[in-house]
Amino acid sequence: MEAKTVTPQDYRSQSKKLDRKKFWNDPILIAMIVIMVFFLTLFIVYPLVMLLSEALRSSDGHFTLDTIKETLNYVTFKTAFFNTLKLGLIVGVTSTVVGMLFAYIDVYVKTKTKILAGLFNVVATMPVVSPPFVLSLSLIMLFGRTGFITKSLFGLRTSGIYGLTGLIIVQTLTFFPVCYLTFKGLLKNIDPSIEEAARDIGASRMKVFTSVTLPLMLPGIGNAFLVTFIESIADFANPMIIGGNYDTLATSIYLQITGSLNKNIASAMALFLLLLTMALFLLQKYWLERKATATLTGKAARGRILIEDKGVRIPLSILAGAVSIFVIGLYVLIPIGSLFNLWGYDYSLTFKWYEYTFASGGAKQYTDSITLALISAPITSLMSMLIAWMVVKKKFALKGYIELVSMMAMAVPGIVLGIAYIRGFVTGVFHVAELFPRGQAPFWTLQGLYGTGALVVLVFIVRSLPVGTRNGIAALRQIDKSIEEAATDLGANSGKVFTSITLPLIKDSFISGLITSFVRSITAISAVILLVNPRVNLITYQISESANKGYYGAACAAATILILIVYAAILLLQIFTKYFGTSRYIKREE
Amino acid sequence: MKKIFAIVLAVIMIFGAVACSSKPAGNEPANNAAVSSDTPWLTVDGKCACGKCSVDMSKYSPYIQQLIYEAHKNGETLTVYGACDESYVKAAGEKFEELFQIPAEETRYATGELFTKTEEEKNNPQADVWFGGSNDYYFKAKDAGLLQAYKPENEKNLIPNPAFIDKDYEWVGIYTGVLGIMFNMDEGKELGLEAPKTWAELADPKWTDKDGNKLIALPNPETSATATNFLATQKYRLGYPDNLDSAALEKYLKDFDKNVTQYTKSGSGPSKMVGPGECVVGISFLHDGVAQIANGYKNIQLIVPEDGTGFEVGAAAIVKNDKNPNAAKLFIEFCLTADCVNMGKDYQSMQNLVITDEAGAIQPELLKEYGIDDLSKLNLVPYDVSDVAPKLKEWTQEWLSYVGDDERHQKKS
Repeated sequence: MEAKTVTPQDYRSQSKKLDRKKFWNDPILIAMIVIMVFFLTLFIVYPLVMLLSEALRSSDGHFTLDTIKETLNYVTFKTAFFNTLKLGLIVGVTSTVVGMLFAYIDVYVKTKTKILAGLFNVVATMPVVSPPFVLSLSLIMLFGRTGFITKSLFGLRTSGIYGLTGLIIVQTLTFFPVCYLTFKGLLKNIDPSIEEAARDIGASRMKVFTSVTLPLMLPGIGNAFLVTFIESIADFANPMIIGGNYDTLATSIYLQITGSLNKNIASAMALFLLLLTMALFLLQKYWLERKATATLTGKAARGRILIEDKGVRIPLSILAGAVSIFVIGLYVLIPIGSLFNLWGYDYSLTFKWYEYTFASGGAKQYTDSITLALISAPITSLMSMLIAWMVVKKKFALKGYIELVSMMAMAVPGIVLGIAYIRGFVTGVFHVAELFPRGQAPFWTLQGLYGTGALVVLVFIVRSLPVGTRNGIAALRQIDKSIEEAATDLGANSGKVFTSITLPLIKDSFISGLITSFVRSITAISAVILLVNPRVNLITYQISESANKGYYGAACAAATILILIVYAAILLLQIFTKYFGTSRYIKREE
Repeated sequence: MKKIFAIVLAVIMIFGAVACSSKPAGNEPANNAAVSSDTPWLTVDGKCACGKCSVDMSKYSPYIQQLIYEAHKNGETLTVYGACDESYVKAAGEKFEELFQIPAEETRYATGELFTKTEEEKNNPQADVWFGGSNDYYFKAKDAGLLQAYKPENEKNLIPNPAFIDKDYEWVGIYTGVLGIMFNMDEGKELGLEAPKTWAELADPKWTDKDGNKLIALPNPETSATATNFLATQKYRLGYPDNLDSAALEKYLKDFDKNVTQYTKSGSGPSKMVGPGECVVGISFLHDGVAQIANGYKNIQLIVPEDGTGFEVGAAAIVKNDKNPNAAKLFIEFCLTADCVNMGKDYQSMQNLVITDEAGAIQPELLKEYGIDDLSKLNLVPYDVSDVAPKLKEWTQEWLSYVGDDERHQKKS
């Protein structure tokens, strides 16, 4: 930029100086930056570099592109790559649309009875509270080769549900709640007076939606689309169970590692998958973010006048109702399926699958799963809000790094992260523990981390961090900077501003982050499939084992128990935050 | 402010957990009990000299007694990585703990996962022993230097057969099973098809019905040891190693392929497809079929092909550089007793046992019912796993070149 006069340049350098001064006078921010950079580097960048570098290394340790070339010519890889892309695009669009539908009805439309509104809500949150792959399970039980509807009712011998169709249905129903929650938060934050102004000067509802609401939501829509796209291509459990012959990169990587024992190719595939998701991420960051709009101005927003038009209400209700009934049906099927002897062959009632669940894994796998998820959820949620806040509201040198790395974990399929963690920590950081006599490696090598629940907690955090951070960023973008600047001008430091201004304003995002990370953790499978060990046993592992073995009854029984646990936890959490949440204090003070 | 401290605290806690995770020191031997002079691992009244346990030492040989004592003295525990049915792995660990009063923990992995995990942990082994799973992977593990040789005293309990124990003692066999054909009788009746009797028959076009539905399921040789066993079996059947008829093999594999509806990822996949009618003919190890029948699928018929079939050996082994050497040795000894192997049938594991009847092994009843309890009566191919194992990758490529790669080659379960 060329300075036309001397004065603005002076001002600029002066303001820079001031900024710098402000930065160094803020030790809490500095401490946070140091901790975050340390955490992200050690627990995300380092293990991945250890694993992915294998794709560029020959067997004797030299740099080579041979593996990359070999992979690019590998038919399995090419098919998987395009399959992955196609699936991600479709599911990204469908989830965004369904999520938008639910959020719009929830926030804008006055549904006839409260029951209907409540029902939508439950249905939209159901996929959040259950392990992602249970939908695959019930879809197979209904429409599979021995499905209740296909085989028992219509006598069809079809395998149509295995593959792209099944994956689209399952992934959409699994991922749209994330979009829904994002949109709900955003829509609530839109000041109704903006839309009312448009209505007052004669715009139709459709016009208001397309020219006011939608543009305001655009960053959120891009965000939701991106999250779903990446979630879809990194998903492992669903393609594994219902993907049939439709190979994706995530499943191909797993099979290269455990089936063909071809780790170099697997590393190369993981590298390509990572490049793909990073490209998406960068696209979003530099293209969508420029259009971000601040809509929450700090003035207390009035309540919205809900839409009562029949022309809007009825079609939307019917559409969402149809989706709801389908989703409810799929979930109800899980406890039902757990009670039959052999699904598709012998429909006699039995409790044997519940017995089997406890005989093969015991109660320990439930307590382990709950404990580790409970530890990781608050840490994740706080960390993601902090990162979001630092990224949106602060300026510092390593900001881009923090944002990029915390998002990156989402782009890493769990199975890759799991193996990266084994490789990265089994003999300490950079394998330094190998230099010490066995069993005597000092604490700082971090070898002691391996094989403990702490490592699993770390994986949980890393896996959930991107979702929380992304939602946090989207929510914070809508808060006008001037609110926080006012607090800073009045002398509050970073910590005070965060806890007393930012956090209360993004409470919704924070709580949804808490819930999401708890659920993501307790239902995680691919990332921990190789990290479970006799000391750390997880329930999801048993469910997928049972599903893979064809013991649908056992899988359903364990999944039923898991869903109950998660649901109970969420209810408790909601009660807890209702009575102890920050907004209560604010309301009281008003 | 509080929240920030909470984070700092959390990070500290994470590292704190690391610091605290080191193992407590082993128990010191108790000195109060009078120790027998020529058998220092026993007290004068014949109890374990550790003085803390109540193991009935009189049941065991002096060598085993010493292992028990040493394990107790050093405060050893046992970590089992298993690859047979989850409930069997757990039951074996619990039985071991009950008998020898050594704390045991166990996890079940798929065989490929088991191998990968152990290989990754090579320099910091977490497991002491492997339990179950096809010895195909044990050969790979041996090649990768993951296993510890150990010559067990209870080798004497094994049915004498070079296939049942590694010649370098890096693994021992615990069960075996024959490859065979599973046939859905209901579907067969509906389609007017008789159960097949031989491998050769399966190349007949009748195994594609008039609507073009293919009726056979086979695991994928690219991912499953069961399927490579099938390939090897066909080789042996057609003259391998001395006078293999390559042209006949190629023709057979090509014709057979035309009848295959799906190549499953997992070796036991076809056994699960037969009962519900997802395929009419499934090829797996027959004990997987027996387990399905035991689950309630009474419509499955098991067939040992008359033209000769292959078999697998399920194994157990000690992981190299394990942390509990005495407990691990004791576990291998335990695997070679009736105490361990007789449990299999109660936990979805209907394999033929490789322990002799004299040692107390009781073959699963169901195997007798289907006439597959005595391997010596079956027409088995002279399967030499040490010869075949290194060639399997090449054979898989050869097979791929015959049949091509298409959408039936399912790489998932």
